[in-house]
Amino acid sequence: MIKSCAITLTSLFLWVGSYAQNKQLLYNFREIPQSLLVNPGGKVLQKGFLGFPLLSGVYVQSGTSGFTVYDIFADDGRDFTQKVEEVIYRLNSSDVIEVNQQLELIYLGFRPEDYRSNRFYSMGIYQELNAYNYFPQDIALLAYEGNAGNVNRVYDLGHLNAQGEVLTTFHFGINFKESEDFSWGFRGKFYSSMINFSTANNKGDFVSVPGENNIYSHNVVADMALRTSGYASIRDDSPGTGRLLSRALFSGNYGLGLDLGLTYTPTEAWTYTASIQDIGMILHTTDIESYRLNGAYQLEGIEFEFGEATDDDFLDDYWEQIKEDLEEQLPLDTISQNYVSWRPVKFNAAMMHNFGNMLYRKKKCGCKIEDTGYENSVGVQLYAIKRPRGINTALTAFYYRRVFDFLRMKLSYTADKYTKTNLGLGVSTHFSNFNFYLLADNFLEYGNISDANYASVQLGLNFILPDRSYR
Amino acid sequence: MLRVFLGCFVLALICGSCTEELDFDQVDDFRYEPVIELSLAYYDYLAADFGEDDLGGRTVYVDSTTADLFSQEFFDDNLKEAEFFLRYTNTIPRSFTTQIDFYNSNNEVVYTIPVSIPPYNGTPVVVTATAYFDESNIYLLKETNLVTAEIVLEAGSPVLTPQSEGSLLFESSGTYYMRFND
Repeated sequence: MIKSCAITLTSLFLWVGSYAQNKQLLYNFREIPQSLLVNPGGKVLQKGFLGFPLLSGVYVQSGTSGFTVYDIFADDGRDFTQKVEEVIYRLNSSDVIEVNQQLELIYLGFRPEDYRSNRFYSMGIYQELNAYNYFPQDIALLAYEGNAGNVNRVYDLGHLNAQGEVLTTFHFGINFKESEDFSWGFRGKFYSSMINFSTANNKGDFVSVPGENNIYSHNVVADMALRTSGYASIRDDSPGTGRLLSRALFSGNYGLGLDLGLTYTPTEAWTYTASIQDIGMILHTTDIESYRLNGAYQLEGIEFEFGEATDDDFLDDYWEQIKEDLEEQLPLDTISQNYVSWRPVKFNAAMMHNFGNMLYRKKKCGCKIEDTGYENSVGVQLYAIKRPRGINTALTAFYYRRVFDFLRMKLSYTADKYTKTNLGLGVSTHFSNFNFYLLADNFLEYGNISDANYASVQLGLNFILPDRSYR
Repeated sequence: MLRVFLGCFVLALICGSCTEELDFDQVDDFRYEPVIELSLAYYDYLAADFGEDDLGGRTVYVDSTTADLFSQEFFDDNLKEAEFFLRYTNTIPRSFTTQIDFYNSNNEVVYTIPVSIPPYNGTPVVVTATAYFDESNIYLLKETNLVTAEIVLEAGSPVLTPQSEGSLLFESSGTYYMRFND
């Protein structure tokens, strides 16, 4: 039990990152249909597309901050406990544990032939898994080393801040090309949450001080809560695949969300884009179970009172009384209460300069895909995501190039407060009507990926209907 | 050149997890050994409460409590060693013999910590004692389910009356050496 907990915790801590869901390589990569999922107001240069079911969008991101998988699991003959200990003492409560995975089940888009063909519709279903946890530094230290020798040290229980979810998103978006200069779009989302848990805004502390009546006085003050949905029913009974699938689609815990985006191209040489994703929430009403620990408790030990009535009869049961007091003063309640979880809102903005040869490829290419405009772009992108304790941001500089008719690439450099050495590379290939793309973050670390603080990979396969009007 | 570079890139991704030697079985070696310090029991027996004069020469005072803490799964599985620290502070001008007894569920004494305390002579008399349970006898603690505290008032003077001053203060704490590795 203890070991499985330790393994689970360790595994969680392996996935730390600040980048999650920053799809800086996909953003504005207009040859890739999935870029419309990051900016519904992006420039759409296809007539239609159809993602290969289950293969059109596979995204996995993982990372570690403060340490790497290799630090712990390297087969280097060093004492494992020692390695873990070094990591525990290195991390602090602002280190984040994060994992994000997405899988597109269905994705398609088309421009209708009719008179409103300045519109482009796209829709689909994708599944997503998120976990976002702060390293609970004080709680981890207390568990790891105990309280001995730490009289007067206050352990902050508020360090516990974690959330995780598995959900399915049904989405439908419309992109409006208002003019050659300007397009915008939105995407409505319907969320079905399969599993959700969150514990945030916890308050409280634990401290041992010299006691008034005894050697130590141990004091706990806590106002903590953990909310779950979709968990209680599978806790003791592992569901079959069929049941999991039906829960994925129709969990009973639903929500709505909205993405907005725009692209503005005042001149062919300059493009500005911005988008905001997942303005939304999920209302949890089904299969909900929450736990609340609220109260204050002080312990100095068992007081022998030597009351006359008890002198010889052993009547008083001080130990039982302590347990009762604890349960009464610091009760752990299990409650069923609806709750709302907010989606992590994400913001992207970019400014890019387009340059280079504009016309030569148009003349000789086979033109399986749109090939207007300049062959190079450079620019900067800003990414921000709302997190429980604030907003995480990242800044990206990129270079985009149309290498060949069938090959487009984007090179990015991304910096945020955690790392300054993230180079990413994305390629989009087009053979016949097939588009295959591969976007990899922090690729410099791929020589020994287990020693990378984070990495993300996204790939997919689409069938493209090119828009002949761009010839 | 570019193609070569891209080829390498794609290859690198596919090998993907080009990674140095890792050994996840090391998790089996993980152990951690927190040390927990907790107050245990205490009393402050006032000289005025001994009632030596009106209880017909009574000299033994006993109190008890169940104490199944160490037989709980958390301690039973992981407690490897323990050390108890006892501190008596006597401000009564009489001698005492005190005793903490640990009983198992058959009501047999499995461990005793006796302490003799000299009389107060103007400055508080502090007597400390430690009891150490190592891996060979920690089971005694784990099978304990009742603890008694006993005070024996040794014969002497002055006789303790409701007007007597001072007290026999008892404080104690435990240091628990845990080991989680299985």
